[in-house]
Amino acid sequence: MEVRDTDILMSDQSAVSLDQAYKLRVNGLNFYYGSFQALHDISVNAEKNRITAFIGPSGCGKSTFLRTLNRMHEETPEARVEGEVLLDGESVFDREISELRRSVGMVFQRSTPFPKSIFENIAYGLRIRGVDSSLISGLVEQSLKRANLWEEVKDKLKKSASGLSGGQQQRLCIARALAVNPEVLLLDEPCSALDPIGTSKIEELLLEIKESCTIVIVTHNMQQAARVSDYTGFFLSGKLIEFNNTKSIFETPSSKLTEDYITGRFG
Amino acid sequence: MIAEAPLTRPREKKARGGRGDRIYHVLIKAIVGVVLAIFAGVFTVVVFGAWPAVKRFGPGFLIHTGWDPVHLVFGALPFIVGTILVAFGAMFLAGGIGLMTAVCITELLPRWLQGPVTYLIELLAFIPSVVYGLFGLLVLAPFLQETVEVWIMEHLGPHFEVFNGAPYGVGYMSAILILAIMLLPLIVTLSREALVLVPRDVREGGYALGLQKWDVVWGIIVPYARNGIVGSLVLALGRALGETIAVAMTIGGGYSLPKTVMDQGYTLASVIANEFNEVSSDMYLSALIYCGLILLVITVVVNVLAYFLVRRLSGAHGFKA
Ligand SMILES: Nc1ncnc2c1ncn2[C@@H]1O[C@H](COP(=O)(O)OP(=O)(O)OP(=O)(O)O)[C@@H](O)[C@H]1O
Ligand SMILES: [Mg+2]
Repeated sequence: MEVRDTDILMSDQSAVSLDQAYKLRVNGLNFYYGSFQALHDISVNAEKNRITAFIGPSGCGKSTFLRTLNRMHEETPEARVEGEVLLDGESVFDREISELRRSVGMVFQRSTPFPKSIFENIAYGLRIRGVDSSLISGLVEQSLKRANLWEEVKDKLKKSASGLSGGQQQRLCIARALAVNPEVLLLDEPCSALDPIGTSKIEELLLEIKESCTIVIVTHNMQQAARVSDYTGFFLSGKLIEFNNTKSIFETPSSKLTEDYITGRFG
Repeated sequence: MIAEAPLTRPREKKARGGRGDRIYHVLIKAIVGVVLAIFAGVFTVVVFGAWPAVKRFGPGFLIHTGWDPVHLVFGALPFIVGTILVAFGAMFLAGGIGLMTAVCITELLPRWLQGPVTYLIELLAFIPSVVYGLFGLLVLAPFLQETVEVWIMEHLGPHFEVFNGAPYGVGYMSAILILAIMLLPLIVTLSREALVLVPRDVREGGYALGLQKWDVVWGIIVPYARNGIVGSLVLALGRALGETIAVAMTIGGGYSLPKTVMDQGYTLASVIANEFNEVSSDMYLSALIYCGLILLVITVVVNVLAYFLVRRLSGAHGFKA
């Protein structure tokens, strides 16, 4: 749901209830690459166990926005952030970074299996994290099942992950992120390199995992946003033009810019 | 006129493409042929030159010690051992330090420093071997002789046989260090290139799991770049086995098997370089060429093995980058 400026001036009590309703809250976020401002005063909330989608033309700042949610922008030199990002009411900037990134998993546009076997792709992160080795193969199986990949790979777990198809690789990356039981899953155009079948498998999967996870997805595929998301935000040149439940955005957009974009008049 | 243009243009283009293709194929075949011919020629000349010694000493040459030009008793075992010790000693140092350096450059240094530092290290590759040899002979060896080797002899010598030698300065230790310095730029620049080619998404995929830099670097980035890294090590090993003048100037010279790291000795390449001017008989010359033949075979075998290693790494069990 959209938060207007008036909502920010709230009492302590309503702040607590906002934290219960919203997994992630972003307030007055400005983002700079050096002197270039990529995001302007973004305020938005993501509801728990819902899929929140962000759409917008290329270069409008969708990835930049997503990357601030798990502080991935800190891997980019020159990147600077102002404003608040709260996870369960606590600023992500106060959290220990590797612990934050386990709570807020991320899947990238190009699938990025590690140069390891299918099994190791998932086991590696668990092992580094100190998960008991007797539990690992169970967790690997469980995450592959959650990612709807188990049936396809159970006979070749020791094979290199690079032998998988693009869609399978992307589901492997989702399984890898799910293995550490994240509370939030961020996906940056996870289907842009996939065919329609691969895409619909991922979409089905997202609808399943939102039962246990809050999902934020960036896509430039509007049909996808319409199909899977509960809430949709529209970005344009670093500004969040409109944010509302998905049905309203697509059927009765309140901004002319949003309407132009979703009817394909530009973009 | 207007209708003609689109009809003729593609045909012209196709013909040109076809001819280009044919020229390209012929050229490639010619190059391959020339390379093979040169290789066969070199191999033949070396085998012919070595033939008298091969007939006289047989394969025993490989396992015998003794180098007596007066009585014409020759055995190359000390040089074979020397070659392997010097090459792998230098590879061990330069491989470890070089990979660390490459990783530091790509993963730790701020971007604006990466270029200059890489360039400085590349500069080391432009220094001629003979200058490295002079540096080793005039600077490094005396330094080692007065400091490190004295310390080693006094403190480690009584406990470990390999350190229980006299501080000559020139010797295995100097040769290994000089060779390691020479290999370093090769390993650093080539493995750095392999590391920077690792896609950003792979890198960030690791950080997104909450892994620490160390785990991302050694568990994900280095394995991803392993073909390139192994390739750089193979090139460096080829250079290490064959490096002649810098080793000849710093290894001191000697015909017996090394017992300590400070001994003096020869590698196959350096014995040829240093003894070539002093050959007193045809059999002596032939024995030196036999050493060259052994070196040639070792280099070819190492490269073939490396080829299969790289193929295995990128094959079914590895990762196609
Ligand atoms: N590392 C960077 N340094 C400087 N500017 C950057 C950097 N990354 C992105 N930008 C700029 O920030 C703006 C937003 O980029 P961003 O990648 O967030 O867009 P996007 O909406 O994800 O686009 P796309 O749909 O193409 O992925 C763009 O103008 C881009 O040029
Ligand atoms: Mg993007």
